[in-house]
Amino acid sequence: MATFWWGVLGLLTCGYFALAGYDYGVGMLLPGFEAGERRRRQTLGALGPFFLANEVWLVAAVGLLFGAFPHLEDKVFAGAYVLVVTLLLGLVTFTASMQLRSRRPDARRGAWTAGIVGGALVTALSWGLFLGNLVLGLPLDADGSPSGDALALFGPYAVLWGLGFVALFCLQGAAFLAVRAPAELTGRAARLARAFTAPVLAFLVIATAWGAFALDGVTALGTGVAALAFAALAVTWLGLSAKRYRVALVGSMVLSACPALLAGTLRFPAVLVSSHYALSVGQAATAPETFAVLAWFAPPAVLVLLVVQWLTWRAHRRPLDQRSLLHF
Amino acid sequence: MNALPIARLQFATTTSFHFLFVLLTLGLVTLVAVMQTRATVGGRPELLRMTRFWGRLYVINYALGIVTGIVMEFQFGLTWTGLSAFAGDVFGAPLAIETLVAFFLESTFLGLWIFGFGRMNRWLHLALIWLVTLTAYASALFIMLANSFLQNPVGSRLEGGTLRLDDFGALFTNPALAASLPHVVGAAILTGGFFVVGVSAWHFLKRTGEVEFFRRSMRIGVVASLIGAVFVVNQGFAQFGELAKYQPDKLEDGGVGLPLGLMIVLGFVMLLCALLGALLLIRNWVTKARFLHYLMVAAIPLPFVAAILGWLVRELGRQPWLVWGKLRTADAIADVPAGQILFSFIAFSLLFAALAVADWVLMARVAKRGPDPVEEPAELLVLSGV
Repeated sequence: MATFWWGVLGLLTCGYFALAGYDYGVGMLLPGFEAGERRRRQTLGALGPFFLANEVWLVAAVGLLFGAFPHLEDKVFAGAYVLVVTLLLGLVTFTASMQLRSRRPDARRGAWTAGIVGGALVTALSWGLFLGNLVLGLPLDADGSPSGDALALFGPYAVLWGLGFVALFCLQGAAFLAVRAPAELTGRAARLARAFTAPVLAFLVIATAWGAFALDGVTALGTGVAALAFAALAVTWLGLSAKRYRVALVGSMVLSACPALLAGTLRFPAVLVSSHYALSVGQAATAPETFAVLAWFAPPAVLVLLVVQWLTWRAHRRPLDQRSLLHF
Repeated sequence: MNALPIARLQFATTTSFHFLFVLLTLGLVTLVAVMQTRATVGGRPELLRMTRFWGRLYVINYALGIVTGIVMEFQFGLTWTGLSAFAGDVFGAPLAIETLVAFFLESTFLGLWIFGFGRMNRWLHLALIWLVTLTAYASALFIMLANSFLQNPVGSRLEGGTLRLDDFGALFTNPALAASLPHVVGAAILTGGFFVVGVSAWHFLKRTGEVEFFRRSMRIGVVASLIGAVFVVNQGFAQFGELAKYQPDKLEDGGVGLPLGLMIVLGFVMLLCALLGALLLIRNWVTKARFLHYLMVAAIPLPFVAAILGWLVRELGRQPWLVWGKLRTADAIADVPAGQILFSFIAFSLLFAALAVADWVLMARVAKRGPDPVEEPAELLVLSGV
């Protein structure tokens, strides 16, 4: 039972990174991609129909984490306190700036643009640091309570992940723009995406090699996820080379979901580890009665959502043109 | 440095910001849905323009409701780890359902509604705003259900030092929920009504040319204010009876008396305003009474103040318990150093205050600009309806 819900949580978390990753990528690339206000609105407009729907995957994932795995939720957030706080500061700044930037036709937008770029950057860095720590092992005391050492969260392996996530989301954002930006900007977006494949490859190689020495008790599933990440990067690169940009986008979305997938499978059934502490999926899970209640609500909601979001994607799969509605 | 007061202050501050935005979200979306229904059924172009104008203000307000809500959701795991450990098996369920069924679907439907303006079958588009409204109310239901569980932990039993779920249905019939949910919903509709009336009054003061537009808006706002005010006062007093069943001594506490008294006074003032407004609907006197328009603009903040006071009564009155009679607030706090909690408290407060001010300035400017002229100006970019 707990394993099934762990899978549902994995679906929501991976869905979040696969979708929202390109939101942050487009946010970080915004100043470098095009300068004029008209072009910037079109760049943000490419995200438009998906933005709200993408961001709430995180809300759903954290809600399910609380409902289904309350004994993991407290340890993982309190254990990485400072990183979760910087993540929230970045997310709030990015999400609010994005929604409020273009609400008045004649207003100045410099501060909101800075909020989008800075918020996306802090979000990407914080996610990388957070997941890097999860993979390596959080700094916890022997009873699972936070060690309270904030600096321990900024070890070199986690910093590598932080920087790697910036490159990863930028690659994903550029691949997204190659699909959705106005036709005359497609080439520019594709060049940008190709430029980010090298740093992402470097991140994957170093993180995997370093991890192979630093981590123990890795499951076959965890090794498989690492292999999947390399395969996804190869698909992205091939898609970009062959000008099959939708293939490249799907490749980069799978790639962005891999770190979270890795954190969830690396030492399964242990779902949270530290040097002196380990929590198994069974210990993290809620009671069977609570799972029974969740079973009434969660699957129908996720099903409705997948259908509605799929229809949204179908309706807006082509590049932006003169007729497209711009909201953000 | 003691972490407990800082963590409590952090939760209170972030929740207050969140409450200010979701209250108006809930009220305003209801009015927008009513306007769009009348526009779709009757087909008057004025009502469609009203849907766009008030919908635009709703969307600006909604943005901060979302972002403050995300921080609320994480905070249980950040600072109140004792709650997950002790009551997570029960308390987690309504929160998870709220995010999955309500929050998640609400945002998805809202995105479709924004991008469906003029591009979609109008009945389908109307259905979307009602789905947004319905999911917003579902959100209120599950959050109040979770809060009511903290006030009065029904449907659960103590087993091996933690609470276990016995009967999920009992959470819905909790006396702590019975009168408080309609009270909060009434407050939200009242807030939406006062907002629409206040903004319309400002335009009458500026001698707007859009007389028909703001006359209709004001009438809808007055009716909503009256319905909301009757509910809020009636269900407010109904809570005294329910309270006697589960927290009989709650209002004895010295800290609760002042906010309670102020809230009751404000409630009656707003009920009187709404009654007066409803009387003046006769022959549209309400649109001509200039001296009243000044008061209407000044009254926009009243429902927000009353709501914060009401929330203080409910939550301060629960102390020192986090889960009434079962778990003390002091025992639930996470083992995080006080310095780190102080850092996050300052950072969240500054960021929320800056964003809230920016958001309200933006709303005021968009509200003052008024609705778009009937003939759409030729624009290079196609802008969304809201």
